[in-house]
Amino acid sequence: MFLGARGGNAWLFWKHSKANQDPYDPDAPLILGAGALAGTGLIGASRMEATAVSPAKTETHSYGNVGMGGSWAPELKFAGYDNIVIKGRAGKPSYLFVYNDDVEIRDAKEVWGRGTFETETLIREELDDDDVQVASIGPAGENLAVQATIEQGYRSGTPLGAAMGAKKLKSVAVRGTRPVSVHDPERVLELNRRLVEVVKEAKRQQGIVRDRGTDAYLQGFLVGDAGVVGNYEGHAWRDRPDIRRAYEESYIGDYYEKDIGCFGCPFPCQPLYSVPGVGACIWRCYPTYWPWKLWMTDLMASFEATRMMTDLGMDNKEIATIVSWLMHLYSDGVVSAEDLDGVPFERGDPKALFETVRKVVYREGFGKVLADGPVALARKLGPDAEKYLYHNQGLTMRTFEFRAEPGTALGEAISARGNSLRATTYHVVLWDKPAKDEYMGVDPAERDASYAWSKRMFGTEKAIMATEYEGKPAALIYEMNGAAIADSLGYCVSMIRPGRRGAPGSQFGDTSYESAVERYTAATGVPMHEAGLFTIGERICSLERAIVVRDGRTRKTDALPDFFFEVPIPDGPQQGKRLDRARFEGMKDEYYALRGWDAENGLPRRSTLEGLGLGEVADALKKHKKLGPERAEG
Amino acid sequence: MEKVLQVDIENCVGCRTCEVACSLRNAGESNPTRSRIRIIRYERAGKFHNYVPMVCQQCSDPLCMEACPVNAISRDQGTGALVVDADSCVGCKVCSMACPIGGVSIDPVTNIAYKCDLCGGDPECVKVCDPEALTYVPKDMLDLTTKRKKSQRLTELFELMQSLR
Repeated sequence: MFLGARGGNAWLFWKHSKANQDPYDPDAPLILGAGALAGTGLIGASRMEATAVSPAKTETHSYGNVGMGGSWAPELKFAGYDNIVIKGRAGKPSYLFVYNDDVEIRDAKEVWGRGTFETETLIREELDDDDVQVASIGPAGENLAVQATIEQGYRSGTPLGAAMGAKKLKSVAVRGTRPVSVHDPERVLELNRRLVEVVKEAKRQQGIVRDRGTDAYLQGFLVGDAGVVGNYEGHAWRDRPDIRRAYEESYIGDYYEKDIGCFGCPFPCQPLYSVPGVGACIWRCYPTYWPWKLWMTDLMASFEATRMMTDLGMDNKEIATIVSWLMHLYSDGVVSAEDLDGVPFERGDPKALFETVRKVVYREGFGKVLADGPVALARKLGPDAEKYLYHNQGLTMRTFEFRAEPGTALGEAISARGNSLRATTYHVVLWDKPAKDEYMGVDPAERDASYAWSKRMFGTEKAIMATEYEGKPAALIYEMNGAAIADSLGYCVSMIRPGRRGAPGSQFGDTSYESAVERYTAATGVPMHEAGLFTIGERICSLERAIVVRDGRTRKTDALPDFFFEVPIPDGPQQGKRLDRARFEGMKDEYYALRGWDAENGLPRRSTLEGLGLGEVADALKKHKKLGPERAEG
Repeated sequence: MEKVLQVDIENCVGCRTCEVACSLRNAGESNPTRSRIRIIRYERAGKFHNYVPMVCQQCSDPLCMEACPVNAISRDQGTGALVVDADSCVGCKVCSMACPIGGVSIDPVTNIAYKCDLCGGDPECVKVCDPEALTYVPKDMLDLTTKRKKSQRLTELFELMQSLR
């Protein structure tokens, strides 16, 4: 019905949570799940998912989820479990240790208050086993900062650390020594061998070498237009020689050690840097987005901040966006240093970032308010400050340029989780960037093939063009259902990319859903087909929708701040663009219609839910008076 | 030419795809505990991440074979691998006591000795080791890649010295 990590967790959340539950209610569930294919040995399927009432969605407490790679999910499988539901609250700081059939709540006094790095090491030492996999919160989660994360492996999603901290639960440590039975081991081996050959060949053709010493991802994000400068204040990367040079030269590359990655994947993608006097940390991808939100060209300080936040268990995207907002307020004179404990929020100054992190984690000064979310601080600072804060249910708006990308904007507004990356995946809506032609050189034949695919799938080539509205609802549904499948199977998005067969950028050969189906069947023996997987994806997304509408989401709150409709992009290649409200609402109409939700309030209908086998969900929504009315006959 | 399983510690990324491949092939299930190759982790989060693949090195003068009281271990003449005869093995664990590197263990399910047999001359682990921490090379090529890699550094050093002159 639901599959493994995200789907399984969503169902368990639905069963165990109450409407509008307080994230710190001891009875609120914290659910950790392993991808359905984790531990089967299939390359690239080692992700886990954590689900809880999101503390960071301060305006409507509801469903929050986060996906993580690493080795935790397979270890849970080897211990013999798919999902863990944690309820209640410990009397004193504790951690959970799962070792095959033995499940133990242990005293965490040795690790409480410590960073996540040290916690992992100390727990492994205490249990005398370096193969124990540890998911922990840092001091941020212990002190219930809503921006706190659960740290394990490589994460993406909404911060849930405070939900774990509220349970006085420091870590969940797992160790398993048992088998995951695989339907057709020889077939799984063959699929893995073939994938390695494809990657080797792709690397040879693209001239990718190991020991590259600089972060190719960092370079990649520079060429995209996804990154904004400041608090959506600027956009023109190429017109800022100082920032451009900092990133292009990537001087921190001298400290590159090697790539590491997830269990069972020989293509590690997480660059590990080690800086003398600072320490080691993974520094990739999303962290490289945020420094320019802070106008920061000091990559070393950015690295140090990333490492510090990972250790403290703090979401660097949330904090960076908040600091960019405070810098904006400061530079426009809306607030002064006096309003913020004497900290000057000068653009580009790393000190403002370090101070904010420290204050939030330890709830000092303005951090005491900010730890309860940026909306709380904005209210304290006054209506002008509120106007500058762009948030979605209390979560900060991340780094996407929604004004130029209607599909991304729709995903952000509508996704159950509340921010769009990974909730929607991001390939279809983003790949077709003008900048990519300039820097990466898209093969025209491949590009035409992708356009043809778009036309076949969504009725228009425009569905995969980032700046268009047309066809976006259908493309987004495909993306969201696809992401739900990948997150449930535990697959990495590098391994499943909808419609990316032959599209530029993939080194992983056939990443289509047909091939995912083949792998799924080889591992499980369960007959499956692409449409069947998509029905599961649709079911998961509908269940997630049922959860959030139960908790108060409506069409009205499937929204973005007015700013993105009113203030045009000031500079850069997309200069002058802003969202068109009528067309945005039109996309919502189309989206709800395609999902089978009612247009007026965005509520799922009974017929839709029953069609997906979710009759009992319809019954429950009816009790909450949140069931969409059926369409009138004819 | 007989081939050997060459381990390059520096290249290991700790992904354990080899463990999975080994257990799928030799135990018919995904289970690192029953893999004949194990990745030993030296991780101190925030400081370093190092990994060492540990696998039977098919010794020239094998202590396991010598120690085995029932002569269950012999050398395969085709592959050069030391192989355990499952019918003769009594599971006494003496081989694992004798081995200096932990290259032979007792299978927790069958309770008899199990160790790398080079998959009969076609090692499964090597095929999925994209970082090339594991390679299967002719005996007379052993460590040549390592020598080449190290020599590159020396070359760089020479160049540096020359530029300073």
